Amino acid sequence: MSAETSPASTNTKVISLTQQERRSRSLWSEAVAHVLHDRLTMIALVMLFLLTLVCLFLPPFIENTMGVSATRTNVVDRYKPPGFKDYILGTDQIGRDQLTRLMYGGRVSLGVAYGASLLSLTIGIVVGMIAGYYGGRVDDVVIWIISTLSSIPTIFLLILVAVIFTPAPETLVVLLGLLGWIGTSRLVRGEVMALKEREFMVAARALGAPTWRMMLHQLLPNLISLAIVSLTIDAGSLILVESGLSYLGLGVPPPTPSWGNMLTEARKYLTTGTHLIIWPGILIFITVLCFFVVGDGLRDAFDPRKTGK
Amino acid sequence: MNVFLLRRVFQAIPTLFGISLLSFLLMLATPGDPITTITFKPSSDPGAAQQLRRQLGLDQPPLVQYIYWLVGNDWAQIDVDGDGQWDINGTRHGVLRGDLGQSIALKRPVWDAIAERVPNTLLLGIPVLLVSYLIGVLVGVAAALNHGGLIDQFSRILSVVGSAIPIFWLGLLLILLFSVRLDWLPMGGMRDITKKDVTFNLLESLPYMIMPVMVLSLSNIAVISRYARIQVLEVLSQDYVRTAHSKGLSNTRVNTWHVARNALIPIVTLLGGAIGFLLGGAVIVEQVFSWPGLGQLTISAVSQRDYPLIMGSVLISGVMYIFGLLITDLLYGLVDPRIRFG
Repeated sequence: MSAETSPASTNTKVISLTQQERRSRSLWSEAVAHVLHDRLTMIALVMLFLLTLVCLFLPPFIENTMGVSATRTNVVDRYKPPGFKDYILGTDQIGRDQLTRLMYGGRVSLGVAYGASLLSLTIGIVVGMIAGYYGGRVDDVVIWIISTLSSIPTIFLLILVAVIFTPAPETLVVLLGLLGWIGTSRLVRGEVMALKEREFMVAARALGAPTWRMMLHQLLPNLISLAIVSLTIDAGSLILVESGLSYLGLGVPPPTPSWGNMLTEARKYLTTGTHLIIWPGILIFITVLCFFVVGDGLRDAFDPRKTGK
Repeated sequence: MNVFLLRRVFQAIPTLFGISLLSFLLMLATPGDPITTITFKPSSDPGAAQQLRRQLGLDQPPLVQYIYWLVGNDWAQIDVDGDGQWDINGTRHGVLRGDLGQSIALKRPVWDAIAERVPNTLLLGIPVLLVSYLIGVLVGVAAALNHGGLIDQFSRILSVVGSAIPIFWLGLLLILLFSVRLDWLPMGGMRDITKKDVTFNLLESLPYMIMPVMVLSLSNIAVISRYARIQVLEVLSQDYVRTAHSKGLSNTRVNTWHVARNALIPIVTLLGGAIGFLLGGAVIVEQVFSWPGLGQLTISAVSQRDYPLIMGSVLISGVMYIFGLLITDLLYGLVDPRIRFG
């Protein structure tokens, strides 16, 4: 970290516009430098990246070179343990290759998590910004909706909605996104309420900036660090929610694999196919863990009060 | 205290209203109405179906239907045969008087079916609360007193693992270990303690309870221990703790009398969230261990598309959660006098 980016160099009395610009860039470069030095966060980040890439690109390759299939059933090779013939992680109850099935399942689980967390982030930011910016009656209504939605345990709401709209992966993204914005919007609302009173907002208002401009150019950039952190944490918890919902038979319906519904099926083969229970769970666990670790690391990295190294 | 209590109770009313509105709207969105499921047979009489629909008030506009659903229609005059003359009073009592409709699959009132399962869910929930508070507080306090040490590291790992592990998978792993491999504990199949011929016997039920309670407690322990740790660390840096040390009190005495007592008060606030988590987590855990509670009832209602029952359990879980939050706030007011006058 260069001396220029440390907070100590900004104790000049007059802050010109260009200096302010440089300072806002320095928060980013500082955050990046912090993450690069944070070994645990980097490991988790790389693992998530690799996991996503592997799920996206590797399955056809493995199917071709090893001669296995995630969809073709094989009565002879049922419940084969990991390492049997070309089945690296063994086969399931109807002889499909578990490794490639896990990867295809990862596409669904990760895809749902990414999509739903992006959607819920967008809704959360819009709703939170409107509530925090306008305050008053608008805020009262938003708070009422938030407290109502958050007073029904999420899983009950999801069950109810999943029953009414039978979920394909795309519908699941929409459902989880539409029900997951509450936490984010609460955070954004609080942040906007605090930002609203700051000098730059008062200055912008005094200069006659229209509302949309204040929201997009003044408020939004200040919310990005908060948004990235809650995006990561949300993606992690959404993987948990999706797998729980699939486990109850309300998520993505088989034969499309997802890590959650692979476990539902495995529940019936406790004794014959132990490996069918172990692997999907490990993948869910590791992925969620990585998301949480990255979220925590990013929160530290964006925290201006962090202790510099 | 009474003013505080009243104000807090009044604050719950808009939320309860919101829940009622939400469940009603979702009910309107469900495909078909209660009549359709009854009159699905080709031999049914469309005229009689129309009469029944009028009698239940299902021909009314949504706002009137909402009022009927909420307070019933037995006070309203109904024109059953459609000739413009009032014939009889309605028969519905409304949600506020405990009429959640008729379960399609069970062919009995939804309220009865739910009320019967609640004791089973509580039998799981109360031990979980006790265990998770006990262990969570112990781990949190120990971690704070051992700041930066081995116990602190352990508590950190415990809390991260506890919040990232899918609870149903943990349940399956425990079944695999304790039931399949070691054969120490039953896989599930807890008896329904509300059945007439079954008397509750703790010794007999205990083996069934161990694994579900462990699974449900873990995530709560994760949250509670982290919070307890932060609270204790904060109190440890207070002046009065240093004063207590400097006047020569023993470590144990300072830690129990001065630190723990003050640090643990805010932990009461986690109770509300824990109750919400329990209601939700119970759905999944009851399914894993085939525990005859409210969650299992809901899931079986889902598989039979029994909408009144699903709706009823959503409503009841929401109301239970709100009361949990209410009790939490009141408890907090009780243990910390500052809140009451705040």
